[in-house]
This record gives sequence, structure tokens and C-alpha cells, in this order.
Amino acid sequence: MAKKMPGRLVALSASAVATIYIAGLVSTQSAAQGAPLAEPTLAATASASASPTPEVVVGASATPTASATTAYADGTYSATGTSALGNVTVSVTVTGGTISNVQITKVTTKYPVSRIASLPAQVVKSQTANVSVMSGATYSSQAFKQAVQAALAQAQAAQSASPTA
Amino acid sequence: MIPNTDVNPDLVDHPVLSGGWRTLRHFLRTPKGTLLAIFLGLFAIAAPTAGWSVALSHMLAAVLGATGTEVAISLLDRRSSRFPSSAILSGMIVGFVLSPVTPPAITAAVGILATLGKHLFATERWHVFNPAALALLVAVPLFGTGQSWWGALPDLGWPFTIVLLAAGAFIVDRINKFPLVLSFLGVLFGLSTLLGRVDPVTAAEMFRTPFVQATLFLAVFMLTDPPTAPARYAEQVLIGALVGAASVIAEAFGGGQVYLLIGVLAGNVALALRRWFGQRQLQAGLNYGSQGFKLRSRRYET
Repeated sequence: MAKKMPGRLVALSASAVATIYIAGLVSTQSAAQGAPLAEPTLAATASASASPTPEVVVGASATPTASATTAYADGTYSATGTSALGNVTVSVTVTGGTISNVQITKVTTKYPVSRIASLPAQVVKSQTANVSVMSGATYSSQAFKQAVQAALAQAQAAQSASPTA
Repeated sequence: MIPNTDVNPDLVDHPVLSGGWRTLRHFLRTPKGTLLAIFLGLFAIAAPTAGWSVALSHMLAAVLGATGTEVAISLLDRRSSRFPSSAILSGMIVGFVLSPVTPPAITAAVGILATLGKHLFATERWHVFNPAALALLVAVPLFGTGQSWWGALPDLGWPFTIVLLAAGAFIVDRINKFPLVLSFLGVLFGLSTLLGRVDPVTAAEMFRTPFVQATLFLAVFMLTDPPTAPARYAEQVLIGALVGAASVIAEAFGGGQVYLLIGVLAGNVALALRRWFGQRQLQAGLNYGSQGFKLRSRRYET
């Protein structure tokens, strides 16, 4: 069997690698803490779907409250947000003109879906697509936001197209 | 007669059990057995975060896909059946990288691809590509799979990253691949630091969770796969540096979630070319040697 690398050399090399890592970590600290310096290229593709087949179901729902004038038409709308690191597909349900349910149905980003699992609840609570960018899941958060915006855009378009009851 | 204190005396009178126990102990002492034990430990740590039922069904799908294909190929080739340890390990890597919520059918399909790729791109002596890396790369356009690298314990905090490192260092030392791993990590982190001057956001994420855990997992468990990793130290350093550079370049040009896999496969190609050229040179040298012998023999004949 080939002679093994001496322990001291392993320790020395590992220390050098650790030093390089720490240098990179420190030098990129400001970029990691602040808002993205370069807005990633995002594109939202919307696809209307009555009953999307969920691959991931991470969602939140709320009791709908009726509203006299509503911006969204009732229904379930599916859309996908795309980022450089993958896509997020969501299903948004509007009931009584309000967002009653948001589900993440598919995630193809590098990050585990658990990192953005709290975002659907934020959408239902705030009734908008403006969610926080999750630490350590910047691209996934922004892809989610784009997806919700696209789904709500479908709901708005459906509301504009249909005659008011 | 010296009593064998290593053997459970209850097994002594059971030739099948005692033979099986000895085989298991022998297997666990091999690098593959050690790696399997490490993977089972990582699974036990990571499974609760995903849910045991979800994690178990996901991992079983990956392993069964890979091993089922290996067994089927062995039967078709009419080869003697061997324990498919390589397929189990490839399947577990596939399971650790794919998100646990990936549909089981797709997970199994990626496991099948891993074993198929190993046999399709192979010579008589070795296979060209890391089976799991190739399958995971192909699965992205084919099935639209996502990668979470949950087996790298990215959601459990830094103490578990130390656990990952310790387990990785143990197996890397066992198979004598420290130059490869350290060269890869040094070049990757170094070039990522330089990348920070041009694209700080992309560079920042490569030093942080979950990217760094994915990098470490790949470095110690995938890059070091003995059939697709060089043995000589000089080659390990070169290939490791190549893989690190290729990974950073892939990420810089939008490689997305597969940048690490692109790096590994680039290293596999480089090593395969090196081996191929080396074989040709060896064959040419043998031919020259035999030709020289013939010329000498003619001289003697005349």
C-alpha cells in the first residue's frame, strides 16, 4: 500500500485551507449581510392550473373574509419563480377576494424547502407578495416572491376580465 | 487451544451465523464497509429533520433503484453475484443529495441512472464517471430535480459540520486521499475569494450554509471515490485543483445547483484521459520493446 501523507503535512495543509476559507468568509461578509449588490436575473413564468399536482406541500391558510371590492378573483393560481439557482412553484388560493392559502408545490433550488417554509404564512398574513428574504436562502426567497407575484397577477387579471357580481 | 475471545460464544456452534458475523466484521473493516457505517450514522442524524418516514422511504427508493439495477446487470451478464456494496453507496449518495420530498419514483430513477452510468461509461478496469455525480447532473434536466444536500447536515449548525468533517477525515485517511481533498478545497475557496471581487453575492454564498456543507460532503465522500480518483499524490493535487477551479468557473457562469457536480465530472474526464494516454504510451513502449527484440534476433540470424 502506498505510503501515507505524514500527519504533520496533513495538519499544515488543512490549516492553510482553513485560513483561505476564513479569509474568504471575512472578505464576503458585507455581501452576505447586506441586500444583494446585484439583483439576480429573475423571470416568473405563470401557468394557470386548476389543481396542481403537489410535489412539495408547504403551505399556510387563513379564514377568508368577504370584501366588497376585491382585487383578486376567487380561484387557485399556480406560478413559478425562477432564479439562478433553481425554481420555486407555488399555488395561491383566493377565497372571498383574499389570499386564503399559499402552498409551495415544487422546489428545485439548492436549498432545502424548509428554509422558505415560513414564507407562505407571511403572504397570507400580509396579503401581499412582499416577503422577507430568508437568511441563507436569498435566491429561493426571491424566486418564491416572484412566483407569488405572478400568481396574484393571474388573479388580478381574472378579476378584471370577469364582470363584477 | 487458545480461546477466541472475539467471537460470541453463542455463535460458535452456529456455523452459518458465525460465518456471517465474520463476513460482516471483515466487510466493516474495508473502506466500503467503513463508508457505509459512516453513511448510516449521517442518516441517523439527518433523518429527524426531514421526518423518519419521509427520509426512510426516500433513501430506500434511491438504494433499491441503484442495487436493483446492479443485480439485474449482474444476472444479465451471468457474472457471479457479489454483494452490491458500491451500488448501495452510490444510492445513498443520491439519497443524501436529492431533497427528501422528491417523489420516490424519481429518486429511484436517479439511483438506476447512477448504476447504469457506471456500466455504460466504463473500461475493463475502471469506470469513467463518479456514478452518483453523473446521475444527479443528468437528473436536473431530465426530471427537474432539486438538490438539498441534506445528508451534509446543513440545517443542524456548526457542531454537526464538525461531525461531518471528522467522519470525512476518517475515511479520507483510510483511503489515502488527503492531497486530493485539500487541493480541491484550497483552490475552490481561494478562487471563490477572488470571485468575491467580481461577484460578491455569489462568492458570499459559497462560504456559507448550505453551500459549504455541500462542498465538504462532495470533497470527502464523492471526489475520493477510489475508481475515479487518482492514486499518486502528484496527480491527486493536480486533479483536486482542476476540480476546484472547474467548480468555481461553473458557478461563476451560472452553473447553479450543479456547479460542484460539473467540477467532479471535469476531474473524472481529466483522469480518464490521463489513464488512456498512459495506457497508449505503455502499449507503444511494449510494442517497441518487442520490435527491438525482433530486430536483434534477425541480426543474430543473419
